[in-house]
Amino acid sequence: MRYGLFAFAVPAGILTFGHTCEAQVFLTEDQALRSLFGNCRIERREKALTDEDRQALLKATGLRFPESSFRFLVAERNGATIGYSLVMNEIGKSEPITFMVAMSPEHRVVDVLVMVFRESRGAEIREKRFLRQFQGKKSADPITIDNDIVNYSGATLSSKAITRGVKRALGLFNHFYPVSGSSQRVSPAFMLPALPMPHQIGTYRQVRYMMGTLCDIRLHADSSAHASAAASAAFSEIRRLEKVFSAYDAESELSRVNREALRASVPVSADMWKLSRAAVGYAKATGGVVDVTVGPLLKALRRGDNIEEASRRVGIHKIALDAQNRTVRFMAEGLEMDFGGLAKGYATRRAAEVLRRWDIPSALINLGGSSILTQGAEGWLVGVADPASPNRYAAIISVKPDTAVTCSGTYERCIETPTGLVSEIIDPRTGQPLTGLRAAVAITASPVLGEVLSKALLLNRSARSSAQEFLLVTGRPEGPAIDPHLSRTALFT
Amino acid sequence: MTFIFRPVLVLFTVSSLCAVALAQSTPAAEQSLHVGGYGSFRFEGNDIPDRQFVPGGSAKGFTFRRFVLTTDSKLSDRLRVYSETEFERLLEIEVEKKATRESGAVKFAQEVEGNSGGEVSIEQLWLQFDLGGNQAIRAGIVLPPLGRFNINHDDDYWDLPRRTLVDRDAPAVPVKTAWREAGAGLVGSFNLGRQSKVSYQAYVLGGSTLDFNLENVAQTRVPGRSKQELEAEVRLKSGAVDGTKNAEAFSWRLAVSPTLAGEIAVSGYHGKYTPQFLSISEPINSLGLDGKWRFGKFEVEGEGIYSAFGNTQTVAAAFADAVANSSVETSSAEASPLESEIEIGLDGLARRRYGFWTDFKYHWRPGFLKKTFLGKGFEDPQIIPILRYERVWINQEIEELAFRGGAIQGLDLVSRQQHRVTAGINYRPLQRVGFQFAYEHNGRRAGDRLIFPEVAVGSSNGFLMGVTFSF
Repeated sequence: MRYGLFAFAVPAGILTFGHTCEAQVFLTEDQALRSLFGNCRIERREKALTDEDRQALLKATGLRFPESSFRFLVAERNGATIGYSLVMNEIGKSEPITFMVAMSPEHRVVDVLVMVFRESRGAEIREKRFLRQFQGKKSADPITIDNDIVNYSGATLSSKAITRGVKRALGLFNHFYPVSGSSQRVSPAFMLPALPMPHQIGTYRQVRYMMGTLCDIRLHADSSAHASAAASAAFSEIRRLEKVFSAYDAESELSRVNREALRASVPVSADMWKLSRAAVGYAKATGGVVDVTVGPLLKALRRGDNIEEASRRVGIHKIALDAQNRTVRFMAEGLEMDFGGLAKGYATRRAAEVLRRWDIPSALINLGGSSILTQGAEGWLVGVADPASPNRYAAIISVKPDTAVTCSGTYERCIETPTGLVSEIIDPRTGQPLTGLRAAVAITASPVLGEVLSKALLLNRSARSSAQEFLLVTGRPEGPAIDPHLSRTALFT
Repeated sequence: MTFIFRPVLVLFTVSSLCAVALAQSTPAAEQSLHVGGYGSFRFEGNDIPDRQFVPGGSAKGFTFRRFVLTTDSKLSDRLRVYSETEFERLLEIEVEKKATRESGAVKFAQEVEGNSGGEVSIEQLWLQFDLGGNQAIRAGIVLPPLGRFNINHDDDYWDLPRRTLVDRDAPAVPVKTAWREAGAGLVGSFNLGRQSKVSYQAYVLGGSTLDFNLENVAQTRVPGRSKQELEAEVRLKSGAVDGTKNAEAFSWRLAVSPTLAGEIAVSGYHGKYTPQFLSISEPINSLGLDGKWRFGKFEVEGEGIYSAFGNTQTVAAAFADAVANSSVETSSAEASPLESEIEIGLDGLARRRYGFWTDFKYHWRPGFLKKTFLGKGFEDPQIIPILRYERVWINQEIEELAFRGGAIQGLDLVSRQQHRVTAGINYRPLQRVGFQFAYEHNGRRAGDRLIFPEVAVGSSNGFLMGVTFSF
């Protein structure tokens, strides 16, 4: 009986403690979507599977697709697609596990959320530490247990079910929304993942979905705890800036400015002020090539409206900045700001500052493969995707410390117009989207400047001299081999 | 068997009623009942001389190892009832009882039919009440979490066709796997950072105890004479579940998993094992260290157990005293040519038992496998080469006890040590099915005979083939 009292004493302690831990909950479809994409419009697109589809999918994935149809949940904000998701049902041991696979327009897995788990064993696979492995995966990856996915010991059948489901989801996504040629919506890898230098093996890495893309932070640290804390702090900063600069979030500061700046001068935060002032300066410096007021033109292209009329609502000179009161005022009706890549560049720089405060000796911050910043004492290798074959490297660049590598390309993001898909990069001077498979990489000290220069390089070749070093890549590289250290300018046309 | 089933039935009923009552106050959830199971068969060939009796079994030929039926009922999001019922080395058991009137008298007859030794038992039967935050209360017939084998004892989990020495054939754990006890406790886990996880189990248990088996042997001898032998074999077994056993044991396990790749755990069992009729109290203290780690396709798993059983000579003396102070009455010995013999054996009572095992595996998925008849049509067939090394020490085991008038006259203590090396291959067309092939070498390192198979040889070699499955 001496242990009898203990049996009742311990549960009380655990009850109190238990509520501090992360609860495992089932999710409805709406809850899962909200968790993944926030507030957005969801379009449900049913895709029926024919025998030909099944054969093609079997060939592509090696997996069977006996279902008659799948329903894609397409998340959209302000007319732009921000993600796709599929609800998968995969048999674990004897019961289906229902989970949602969310994929980015870049055809990479954003996240996996388990919605219903019915098996008696193996519920551990609902844990983040297992599901996090799938983030950033693309269909070309093996996505197999004991290869690039670590099995959850004691939950092997459930681990296999989730792994199989993710691979099937990516296969379906590629099948129904293919990535090929100029008709592709988005390149699967605009700038391929940075490669660690040989001495950097073992670098800590975290990937999260923010600012409408995958944010990848790799860093060196004394311990995983140090790395985790520093990366979390950097991600928090990016998340904070997303709430400032998001054009898709009606609650963001930018949306508030866009709504109110025509009626009155709007006081803005320090971040908004800095970037607004920089944007005005860069627009003037590039002769209007890089213009954050280009939003009305994009909307007109999407709707098939008159471009000339939309052009009248565009122009950086229609924004009035009051430095003394730190306010923004729009001087013309219909004006809207959209910082796009500039916001990414700004967030990249701020995240690097956070990592520096955390005493991270060396880090690489990669926002969506288009804005990369190295920080610290060591260099990194960055691969640039070949626009004609995005799974191949057109160049591998050895990037010095504290250097930004920024890439803009006609195939980075596309918009759907009544006449077809066109590049999201448009020339504000003509209102026309850029054509052809082109990409420009700028290597600069500042990622914001890099965003400006990479776009300017595409739209206005006279800007080349402004970059420290740059690289222009087109679909058919015919020039000499790229100098890996870029001691000189290399140009592909 | 009534003494097992009655309390279990009561527990089950009470648990179910509580669960149903509680479920009504929780949010609606998908209710489910899963019936599943696992089982295994084995064929063994070895170099043990023919006709040599092997206590505990290691015969040449086929063995139906076990078939276990499982039920898992989720009454609500937070309430779950789980059970395992085992049929081990048993094809049939038939009990026939009848009372008839013959020639003016009443004849009572009871007949038990069946094949050779086996058992039907409840391995687990518990109710789990989730407290939230990955913490739960579990109560019923539970598995003491000493080491990792007992709590992962499903045959289809393992890649070799024989269980380990430490947990089964020469147990360093107090009771061989599957070891179960009546009790209640807590199970749960919590995360440490983004990657790490700590999980635990802790139970208050009835606890293992020295229990007896009565063996009745009828032996024909020279014409006109027969011998009846009654042997009381006393050994450590799972504690009684009929309400006569105090809660006298505590078992726990604390596992740390720094990454998904593996975990390391420490565990323990502490309790009193002497039965009440001996009027002494001797403790068992066991400690375990186990772990599993994956390096890509390579996997290492292992366990070490140390058990101390207090002063076993005191236990032996108490037995001598108890037996001397009892009496056996028989009237047949003088009236008919029937010779009666009563023996008492203390099976496996040692001062210390300890050992370890380690498995080294490689999960091989060659590309050609799916193109052959072996792997065609299966999603993820794999071949798992495995090497197991294990070693067991038994210190000061009571070999022979002689007593007169309640006092020990002679006590032979032996210490034995054995290792075993097993090299095998398991082909898994599915995760739930395994075709196992293994070569096994047992070597005596101390003592006059192997611990398992219990034969007086320096070493034995065997070839085993097994099939495991679950559904």
